Amino acid sequence: MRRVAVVEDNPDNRLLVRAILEEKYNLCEYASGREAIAKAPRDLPELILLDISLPEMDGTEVLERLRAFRALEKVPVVALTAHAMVGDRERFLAAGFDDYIPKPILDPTHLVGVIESLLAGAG
Amino acid sequence: MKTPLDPETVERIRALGGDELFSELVGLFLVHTPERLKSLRAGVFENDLSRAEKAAHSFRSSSATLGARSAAEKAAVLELMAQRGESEALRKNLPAFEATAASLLEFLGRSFSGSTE
Repeated sequence: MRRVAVVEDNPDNRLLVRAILEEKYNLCEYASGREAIAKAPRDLPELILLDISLPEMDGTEVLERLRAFRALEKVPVVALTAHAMVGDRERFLAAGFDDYIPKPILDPTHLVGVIESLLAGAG
Repeated sequence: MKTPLDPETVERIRALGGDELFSELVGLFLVHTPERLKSLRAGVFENDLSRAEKAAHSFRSSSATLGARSAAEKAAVLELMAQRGESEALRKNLPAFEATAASLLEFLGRSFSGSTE
C-alpha cells in the first residue's frame, strides 16, 4: 500500500478521510502542522493532504516547511479547504500546492482520483 | 421537527460508512462543539478576533461536514466578521448564532440517542 498523509485539525474531517482512504492506502494522520513537520520527514508519505486553515500555522506555511525537507521536496501536496471560493484552485496552485479539494470531502471518487493521478505523476 | 441536516449529505456519509460513520461524526460534533462555542464567545467578548475566527471556522467546517447548512452559513458570517475586525457586528450577531447552534446540538443529541425520526 502506498503511504498517504493527512494534516487536519478537525477530528471529524480526519474521520471522513480515514473512511474513504484507509482500505486503499497506508494512512498517516497529523492533527497539526507542527505534528506534520515533526513526523512526516520520518514517515515519508508519498502524498500529503494538507488543510489550509490549521491553528498556529496555516497550511501555506506548513507546505513551505515540509518542502524544506529534501526527502519531501517533491512529494505532491493537495490543499484541503472549506473556503471553497472561485479562483481557489489557481490560488493554491500558485502557492505551490499540486491540487485542491474543497471540504467537506464526501466524494470518494474525486478524492481517490486526485490522489491516484498525482501518485502516477510522481512515479 | 424538521431536520436541520441536508438529506443528501447524510446519505453520502451513510454511503461511505453506514450508520456507524454518521453516529461517529455526530458524536465528535457533540463532544467538540461546546468547546468551540465557548472559545467563540470568549474571542468575541475579549476582542480576540483571531480566536473567534478560528472557533467559527471549526464550527463551520464540522457543521458543513454533517450537512447542517444553515448553521454552517451562519458560522461563515461570523468568521467573515472576525476576519474583517467587525467586533460590534460580532457581538450583535452572536446570540442568534448561539441559538441556532444550541438547537442543532439539541437535535443531534436526540439523533445520537436514536430518536431522530
